[in-house]
Amino acid sequence: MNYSPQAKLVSLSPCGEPVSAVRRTDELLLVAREAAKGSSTAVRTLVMHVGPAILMTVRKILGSTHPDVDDVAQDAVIALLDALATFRGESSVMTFAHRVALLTALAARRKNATRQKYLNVVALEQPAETHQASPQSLLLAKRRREVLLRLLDDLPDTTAEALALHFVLGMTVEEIAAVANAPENTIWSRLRLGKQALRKRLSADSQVAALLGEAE
Amino acid sequence: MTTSECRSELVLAERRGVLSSASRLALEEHLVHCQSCRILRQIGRDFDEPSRIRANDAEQLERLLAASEQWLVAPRSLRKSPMTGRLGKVLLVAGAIVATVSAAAAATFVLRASSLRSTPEVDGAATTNVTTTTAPKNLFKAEEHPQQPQVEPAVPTVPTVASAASSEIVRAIAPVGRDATAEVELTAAQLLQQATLSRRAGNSAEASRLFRKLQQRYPSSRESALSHVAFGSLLLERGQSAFALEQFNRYLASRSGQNLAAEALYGRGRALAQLGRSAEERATWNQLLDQFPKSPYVTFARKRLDAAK
Repeated sequence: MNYSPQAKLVSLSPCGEPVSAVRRTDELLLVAREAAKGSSTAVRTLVMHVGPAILMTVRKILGSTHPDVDDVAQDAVIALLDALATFRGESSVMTFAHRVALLTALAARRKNATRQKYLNVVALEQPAETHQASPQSLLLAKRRREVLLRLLDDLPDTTAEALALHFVLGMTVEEIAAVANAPENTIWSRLRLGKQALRKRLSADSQVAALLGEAE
Repeated sequence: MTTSECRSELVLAERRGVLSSASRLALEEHLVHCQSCRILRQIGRDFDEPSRIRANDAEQLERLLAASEQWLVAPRSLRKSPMTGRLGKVLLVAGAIVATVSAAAAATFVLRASSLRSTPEVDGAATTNVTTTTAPKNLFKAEEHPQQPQVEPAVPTVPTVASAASSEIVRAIAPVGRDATAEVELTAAQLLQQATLSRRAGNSAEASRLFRKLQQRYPSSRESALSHVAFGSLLLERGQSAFALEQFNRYLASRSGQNLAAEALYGRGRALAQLGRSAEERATWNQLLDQFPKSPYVTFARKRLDAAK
């Protein structure tokens, strides 16, 4: 998929309001290609641009103060650089970096499942001045994250990836299809299945079930 | 359309901070009926919170640069997938020692380039590996950061590194609370601008911090008064209705013009609805209908009043 600067109309459901989404040329693509060839300048430039995004993605999965954030983020950078040789520009480089970081962090989380108890403790100790939320709402937020993350552990890889890209990183169906190199209908099917599974899990946890509400 | 068929594009647009006022209205109405979008919105917020900029981000970014330097020097035969073994970690430690000087130079260049200066030693270091391919100068389009100054590359031979001194990178690596000196010098207009940009970029925690700083530092400024509506809307999105109500009330009580009074009343009404203060909510909608009968919020106001009957 080649990006071009022409405007593309994207129909926004459910209200049907059309919104123009400009497809911007991916300025990082040239940098990524040079980095794949081993240019140290390009590698540094690329990491400077995608590094913060990688850090943020890893933190979303592991938790901001998890002791492995550093290592996993470095692993994600290495994995990204290794993958550049086969990256064909189906998505933007930044989106690709997000995906690599997400998959790296999910894999690390599965391998370190026994450290979740530590993660629980750390999450509650986040400094109060950075939140206006109460401890109770912080705890609820942590539980909701855990419901989704445990579901991702149990789902097939392709469904888990689509669900994670959608919920954790906020990607649209179109963006997920581009970065995963799959048809939009396939991604949409995976998301529907994943959302159904998520609703079941949420309803099973009485403390977070309120999120489901009653209006449909 | 059933909620299971909803692609949640409005929620995703809101999360990126690119929702128009009219779309925001549509989203509010939609959320009443769409469980799928309610779940996505809440869980999205739950995951956005841990990812905000932290005090040690600059150091972590330096370590990522060191890891990338190691990737360059390690023989390909020794490179393993990091997910299959820890040999990579041993190589990283060894390579980090070798790569420390160049990584520190690169980070120093970016930090200094944030004030649009370059140093001879950085120029020298940056030109040792010049490639013939010239990367594009402006890596961030104007529509993404419309009010950010265009940064001219300090070193023509390394335009991509110099252009990394754009506000996005500086914001990403500038740790919260550490660059207080630079922020003391910011004007009210600059604080409002940065807060707005942070909000558009989806960084609500940073936007909140900047709005609060603006209101504390320049309480009687026009920018501070204007910020009440934007900040109130942000707090409302985050479910902090009481704080949001306070912001809208402060705007409505201010004397700095009432250009955003309709928006403030709309926000006030929604905050009161979330707080369950029905009588005050009804009064707010009636006030909005009375004072701004042609505003885009009248349909929503009438619906809320009808629902209350």
